[in-house]
Amino acid sequence: MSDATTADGHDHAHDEHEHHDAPFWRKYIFSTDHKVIGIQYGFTSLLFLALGFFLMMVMRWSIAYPDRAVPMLADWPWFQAWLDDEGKVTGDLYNMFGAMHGTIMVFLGIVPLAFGAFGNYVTPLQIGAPDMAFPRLNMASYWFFLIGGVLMFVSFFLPSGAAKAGWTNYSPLATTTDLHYSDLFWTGQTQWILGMVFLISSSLLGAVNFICTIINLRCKGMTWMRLPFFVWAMLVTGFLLLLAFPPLEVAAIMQLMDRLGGTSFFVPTGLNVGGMAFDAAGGGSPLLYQHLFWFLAHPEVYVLILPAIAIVSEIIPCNTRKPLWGYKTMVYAVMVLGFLAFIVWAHHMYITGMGTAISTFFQITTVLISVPSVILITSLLISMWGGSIRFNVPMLFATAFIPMFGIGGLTGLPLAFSLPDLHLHDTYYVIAHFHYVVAPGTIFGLFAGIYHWYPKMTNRMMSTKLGHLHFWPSLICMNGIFLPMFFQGMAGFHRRAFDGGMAYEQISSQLFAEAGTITAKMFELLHVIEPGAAVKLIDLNIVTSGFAWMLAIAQVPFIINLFGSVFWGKKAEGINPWGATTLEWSTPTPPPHGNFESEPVAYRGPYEYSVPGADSDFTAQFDGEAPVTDAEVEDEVSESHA
Amino acid sequence: MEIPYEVTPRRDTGLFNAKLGIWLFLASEVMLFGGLFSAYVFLRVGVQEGVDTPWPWGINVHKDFVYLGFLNTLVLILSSVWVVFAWVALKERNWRKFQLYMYGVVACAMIFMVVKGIEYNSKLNHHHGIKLTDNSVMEGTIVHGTDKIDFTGTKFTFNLQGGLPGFIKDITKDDVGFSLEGEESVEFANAAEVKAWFLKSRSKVANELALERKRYRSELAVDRDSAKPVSVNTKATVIAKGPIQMKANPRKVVAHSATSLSYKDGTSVEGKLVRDAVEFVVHEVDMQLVLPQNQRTSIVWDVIGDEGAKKQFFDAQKLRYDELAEYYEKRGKTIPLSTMRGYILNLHPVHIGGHGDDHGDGDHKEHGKEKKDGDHHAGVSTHLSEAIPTADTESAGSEEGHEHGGHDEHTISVPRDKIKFMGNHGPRYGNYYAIYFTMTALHGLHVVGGALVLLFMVVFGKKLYLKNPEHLANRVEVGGLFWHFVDLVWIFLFPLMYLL
Repeated sequence: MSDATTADGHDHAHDEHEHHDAPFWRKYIFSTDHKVIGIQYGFTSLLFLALGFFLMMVMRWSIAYPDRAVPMLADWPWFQAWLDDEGKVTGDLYNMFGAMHGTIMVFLGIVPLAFGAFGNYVTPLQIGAPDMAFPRLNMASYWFFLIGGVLMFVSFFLPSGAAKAGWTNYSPLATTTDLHYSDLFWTGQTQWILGMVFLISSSLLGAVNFICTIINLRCKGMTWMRLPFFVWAMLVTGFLLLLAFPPLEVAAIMQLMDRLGGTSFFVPTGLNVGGMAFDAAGGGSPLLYQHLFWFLAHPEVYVLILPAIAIVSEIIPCNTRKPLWGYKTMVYAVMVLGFLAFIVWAHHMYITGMGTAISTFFQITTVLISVPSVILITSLLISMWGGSIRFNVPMLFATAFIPMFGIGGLTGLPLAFSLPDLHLHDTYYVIAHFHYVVAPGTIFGLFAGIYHWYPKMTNRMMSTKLGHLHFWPSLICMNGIFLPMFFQGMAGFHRRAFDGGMAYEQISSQLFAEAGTITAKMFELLHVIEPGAAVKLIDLNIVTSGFAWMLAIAQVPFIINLFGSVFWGKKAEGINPWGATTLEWSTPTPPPHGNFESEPVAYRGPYEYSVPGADSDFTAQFDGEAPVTDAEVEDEVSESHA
Repeated sequence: MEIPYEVTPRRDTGLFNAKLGIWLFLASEVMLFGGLFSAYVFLRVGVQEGVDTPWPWGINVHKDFVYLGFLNTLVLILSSVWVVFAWVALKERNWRKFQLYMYGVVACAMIFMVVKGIEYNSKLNHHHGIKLTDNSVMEGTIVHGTDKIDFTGTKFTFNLQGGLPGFIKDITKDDVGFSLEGEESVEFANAAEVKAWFLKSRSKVANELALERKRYRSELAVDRDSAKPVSVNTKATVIAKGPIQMKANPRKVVAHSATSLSYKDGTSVEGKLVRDAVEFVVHEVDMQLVLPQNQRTSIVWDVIGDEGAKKQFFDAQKLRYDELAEYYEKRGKTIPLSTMRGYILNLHPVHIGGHGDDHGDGDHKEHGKEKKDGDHHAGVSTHLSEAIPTADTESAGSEEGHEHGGHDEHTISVPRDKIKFMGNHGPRYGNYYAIYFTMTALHGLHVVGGALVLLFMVVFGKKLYLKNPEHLANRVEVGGLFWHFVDLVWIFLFPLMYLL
């Protein structure tokens, strides 16, 4: 790398690398560049996704083979301490991994990847901003996130292990767990709360930054209705985080006080723990914790899903070469969704006995919120109608996203009503429902995004062959994992049984398929059941777990592709290899610090594909009649505001 | 690269970045404190009378703090005005005036925190309470250190797995030295060496266990029946060369007797119990959680062991009841049942602080649902405390109740097995204190944070002022917005925590 001033003179922006005198650690570690921070978020969250996946694989072993020792891992000293003498998974380990799988996947995996990584990298580019509104704040939110993540990770290696009270961390269970340790501060349960405080602070700073950037840093001509849908979704996501996270921070602070300060916020009068009266003043309310928690955690669901919808709605118009159908409707729908997200939280709490009147209110709002969700998905579906679709790898993932998210969404309807929810609550049905939304839903959306924007980040394409090797097995395995869970859940399999339901003979021995049927034959072939036996619901555990481990193998091509393509990938054709219309494709690749060579201007809406009479099948937002004077742009801006 | 709209507002939104940012940040702050205020309402409304700890609890809670709280309110309002003046001074390009007002603001913040510190100190170090097993409560002061279990240990047995054994922190004098049971050659000069040895042995045991389990699993694979089960010694015992003085934290101890002490973490200590009673200077007795018919036989009277005190309590209660009856009779109403449960009564007139429950009047209206007082006996008198202050409390009101030093103190020994719960008026004492400390501490952090930012602007702002005074004015405006928010939160906190 040569010195910028000598190599490029006044305009160093189109140089491939950014040429500042900043040292390495300033440029790549403590960077204030939104793109570097986005990539930092991306890598960290991918690592955490892998960790969360690993935890789940151990749990799946316990569910499928509760009577067998865990293979390979049983000799590792730290790990075996949590196993029993025969090397089988203990209930404590299952609880710990279950709690941390949820926490890591939601707060350290998906949200940072979706909002932190994609939001950070793409949003300023799409609105034509040189960076985020507060670059240093942006750096601070990444480092807060990392501290929170490290605290969570380190808690595994404490004498008490990590948190064990579920990802929801309900009190009073979470308040009373591990209280026998003499050093309460260094217990997993306490570190979980502290980690959350850091993660929440990170998200709050990030949300302020995103909203400010989108409102104040849009470039000339980038009026509200010319914003790409991605940006709209990020704006709504930002507001969700901004307003929903503080109550959880309150809950975390109060729970921390309960554990360390001995307060009784969530400790009811007369609580007994382990046969002894719990030493606290009492008078607290466990229900209060649930309200505070779900006030965040329901909007959080939309924080998980909106970025994926956003990514998909960038990829679909680009690869169908058609405008996004119902752009304005989608914008209004996402705003309504954002508002309704705040008044549906108590549908997670029907079985707490909070009263029929409250339940009714939340049933109504919950059903209402499905309307904007369906509008979004339907618009995406119609967008594909009649297009000549390019089924490249991002498009495959984006296409698969729609039915997967659809299954997840529609199976949520029975859970919205308090009566069926009483039966389905805490069963595998719930697991299957939200995993369909988040795993083949959001994660497929995120994969689509990675394949789509990779050429912008690295100037190289990801391999299509490896992409197919990644996509098809993933699609099959995802469904193989989560589809059987619906059957098990409806039969009453409880999600927290670490033996997979063995202890509940009456439930677990219900038939899935009669002996001699084709299904039973297939199970025989796989050696899941004895020859000639019928398939019981509990036998599905083994199939499900098998698909989970195969899913892990299916990610290998992706990892090779992600890292290998930096070196061996095909060079991208120009700055806009997909022929996309939004502003990020007008920058040099990869975009330099400050993003644009000259001041970007948006001349038209974001999805002008196949405009009749146009020269090519896309008319980019940044293609204007040159030369454009400032006065013309100003006129256009004021016109659109008139 | 320059970020646009850092100083000048954007034309269509009319905002510069930081101003938009601070408003968004304040929106999330509103949700933060909103969550806490909601928790306050939720918890307070959910209190079951006669079962849960009442809000607020105790007699010395309020009145002397109300003045401090009010002073703090004035101080914060003044600082909010000054921060605006400072901003105006910058707009007028008057650096000296700006400096003056800004330092004024920071000084106000300091006064606020000092007053807060006085309040905290008083609550944490001078007010204690003990709840006995029948839910009667004594308020007063625990003689320093006697809440711990006084024990001399000679033999300590603990697990070589998990966290640090609890006894190590509780040892107060450890210069006699220890040796390991079974291997007398292993010696430790003090508890710190025991701790170091524990950490070393813990990883050794973990490794041994791993090997044992590996062996066991391989034997299992060969023959299930003949496999020798895992056996690793995970316990260690340390013998002291002389009696070791300990003050055990009762919250970590699960059981204790005259010769032994068992911790929650599995540690057990053998030795001798030196003293197992809490020395307590009792000021008030609170019978709110005891049914009227049980009040005369409450164990609190055995614990206090003073017939005079008991007589005084019930005489005063009778007096209060008569006044209450008169009060309601005049208005042609019966006494609401909810006021019959018995409030707090001062034991000795000399200790009556006059810190009446200042929401007494409000209580009448709140619990205004008239009920027929069917099962009330004239003999068992219940009372309403502070609604109608007696001449006694009025005259004693000027004395500071929590300055017990010079008074005729009634120190008693409270046996530990009669104690259900004890503590200072810290966050543990009840949900009023819990939320009081949580909210005021969080607010205090905001005060300190805001003051530091404002201080930074005035101390290091000169350079920016000379370069771009408008930029500095923007920063002060943003800081001032935050400061106003901090002030506003206090304006809500003051009535909630001190007046209601």
